[in-house]
Formats: sequence, structure tokens, C-alpha cells
Amino acid sequence: MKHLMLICLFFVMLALGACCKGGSGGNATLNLSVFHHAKPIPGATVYIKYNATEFPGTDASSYSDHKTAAGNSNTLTFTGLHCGDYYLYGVGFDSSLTLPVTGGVHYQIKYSDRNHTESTNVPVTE
Amino acid sequence: MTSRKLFLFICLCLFSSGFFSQELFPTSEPASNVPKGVLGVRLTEESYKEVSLYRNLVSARIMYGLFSKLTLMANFTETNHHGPDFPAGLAFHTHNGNQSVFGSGNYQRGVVYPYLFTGIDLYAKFRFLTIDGEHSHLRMALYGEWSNVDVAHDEAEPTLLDDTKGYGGGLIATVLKNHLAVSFTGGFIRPGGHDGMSPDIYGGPMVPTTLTYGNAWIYNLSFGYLLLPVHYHNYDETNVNVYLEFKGKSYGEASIVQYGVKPVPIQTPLLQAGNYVDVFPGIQTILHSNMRIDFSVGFPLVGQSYAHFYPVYMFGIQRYFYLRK
Repeated sequence: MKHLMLICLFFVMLALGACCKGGSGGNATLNLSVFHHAKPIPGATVYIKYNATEFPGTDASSYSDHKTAAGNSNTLTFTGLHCGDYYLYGVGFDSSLTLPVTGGVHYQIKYSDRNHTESTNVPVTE
Repeated sequence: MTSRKLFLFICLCLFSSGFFSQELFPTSEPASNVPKGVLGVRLTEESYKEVSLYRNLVSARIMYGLFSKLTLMANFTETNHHGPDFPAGLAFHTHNGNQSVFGSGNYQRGVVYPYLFTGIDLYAKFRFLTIDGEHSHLRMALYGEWSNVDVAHDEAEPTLLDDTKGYGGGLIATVLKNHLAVSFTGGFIRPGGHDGMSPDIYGGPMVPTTLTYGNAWIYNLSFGYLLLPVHYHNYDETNVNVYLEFKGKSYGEASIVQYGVKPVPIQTPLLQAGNYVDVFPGIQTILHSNMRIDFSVGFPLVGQSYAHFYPVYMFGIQRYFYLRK
């Protein structure tokens, strides 16, 4: 009986883990804001790589999707995401430094937030 | 003699008896094993003063003799060594016009952190050589260690118990002759990194920061001497042992990457490669051939560790439970 419970627990955990594979087709929404230090970077593009925890590289083809903020805004949104891991890579231009700025960050949408809207920052640097 | 008494007698002779108690080193593992079917529980407290506050580590260890030659251990550790995020100034960059200067190591020591459960450290030891003589023996064992500790450790030196995840292994050789025991441990640590956040010195959002710790070699030499009793009359006699342990470690330089893409130059000894040997004199008493209480104090002998301050006070209490009927 004890072994049976352990086996059931293992499969439940496995099932929950399998649900949480970062990708499209879910109900989560991710709002992103791109900053260089405390300075918003308007018009930035954020590339997203599904089910990734580490920097995939600077090649745009390595990513699953991307969005670009409006020219007067530093925010953008990815919708229809599953819970799971995502790697976000932001590319923009800091007009005060007249330099391109880039930066990546890993983000995880938890199982409990699979139907929620999440917000996070994408810090970038020159 | 009943089978239970015989088992207890063998356990006492093999491990916790007064004959061999001087190899129960306070800070190092001997090559000897926990006897088969015996459960051990050990609580360890380690403290040192950092600037004006005390850093503490409390660890609970469960040991079990799965086979006569194989001991398994699990350590559960809580410390106030680290915050949930890396400290401000661990890695940063400044602007001079459109020039940027990246740097590291400008962070404050002695910051108050909460107590955090750091993770679980698993340890297995296999004794592969046993040569017994009269009041003497030689034992050798291999050990392996794995840790899921994942905290914002901010020095290059890895420690699987409480600072870094990863794995390690090595060899232990212990020689005992009359009242003296000598043990050498040689091993390695391959730590994992920590993905965390560090504050932005310009007040922006937290900066994603990955710190990869240096690989390490361990070389410990321990001496133990049975002070009391001089001659045994029974197993209930209190043992008093004195120890002198040399704990050495060499480790590589850490590396830092911020924003997922920017390597940060290492500019502080805290994150550079290093090596050191600490010395831990200690004293131990063993009551009724079971309850073990030890105290030792660590000082720098060659170089120094940047992962702790000195002196390091260590206190341990341990007891075995004989589960086999």
C-alpha cells in the first residue's frame, strides 16, 4: 500500500512537471518592461525562447517568438503561454548613451500562475 | 550472549568503542563506517564573527549503516550566511560618457541576513580496505557527495554542505595505533553555479546575475589522541579525546555573467582563485560509548578562507540508535 502511494505520488509529480513545459497554447500572459538601470528603453524588442533557462545566443532564429514595444513605450506582452521556463532576451537602444543595449533573463511561470497575468522586467545593458 | 548483545558488542568494537573513539574526528570523516543497521543523528553548530555580527550554521545529519561497508548520510542545513539575492556591489558597471566600466567585489561584509534553509547534502562512504591488528588498524574508504544547496553564495570557494550545489568525491585513509589515530582525506568538489539577482547600484530593476564557483581540491589531515581512560575497565567509561585537524582547500576563480550576456571581470580576492590550510584543535568526550560531544576552534594556518572569518567555533553532538533487534 505504501509503495503504491509512493508510485502514485511519483506519477502525479511527473504529470504536474509535464504540464509545466514552457510554450504557447496556454492561458498565462507575460507583461514585460525593458529597462537600462532605471531608464525605460522605448521601442525595444524582446525575443522569447520557450522551455529554456539559459541564454540561447544572439541569433534571432534561436528564439521561439518576439515582440516589439511601441516607439513611445518600454512595455510589451506575450499571451497564451503555458506554465514553465522561458528565456527572455531584450534588444534596444539607449538614446542618452547613443548605444545599443541588450540583456537576457530567465523567467518561470509557476503552475499556480498558469491562468494569471505576470509582470517582470528585462534589464539590458550596453 | 544473545544475538542483540553480540551485535551491540560488535558495533562497539568496530566503531564507537573506546578503543577507536580517537578517530571520530570533529570536522572530518574517518574511513570507518556506521555499523550496518545503526542510525546516527548529529547536530552541528558553526559560528564565527563577521564584522559586528555572528554568522551561524546549524546542520542536522542523519547517518545510516546500509551495509557493513557502506554508510549513507543526509545533511539538512540552515544558515544566516547569505541573503535571498546577491549583495549590492558584487558586480556592477558605471558610465563615463558613453564608456562603461564593469567591476566586481565592492560589497559590504557584515550585512544582516535572515536564516535560510540552504538545501540537502547527501554523502555516501564505501570502506574498501580493512586491515586490523592488535590495538591498531588501517582503513581506506571512497566517498561521494551531492548537494542541491542553492543560495546566493558570494565567494569563489565552494562548500557542498551549505554554500554551493554540485558533487564531489575522494579517498579517506585512517590509521590507528594504540591511542593515536591519523586520517587523510583527499577529494574534489565540482560546484554548480547560482542564478540569482543583484541590486542595481543606479536603482533600476534587479540585475540577473550568474555566479559560477571555482572547482576545488580538498586535503585534510587529522590527528586524534585518546587521553582518557588510559586503560579500559568497561564500555561505560567516559572517553576524552583531543584532536588537531588541518583542513586544506585549493579552489579556482569564480566567474560572473550579468544580464545573461556580459562577463564581469573578477577584481576581488573573495572571487579569485585561492588556497589555504586551517587548523582546528578540538576536544571530545564520549559518554557510555555512544553520546559524542565535541568542540573545536579553527584558525588560519596557511593563507585564509574568504568564505568565513576567524576564529570558527564548532560544536557537535551525536548519538547512535541501534535499530536492529
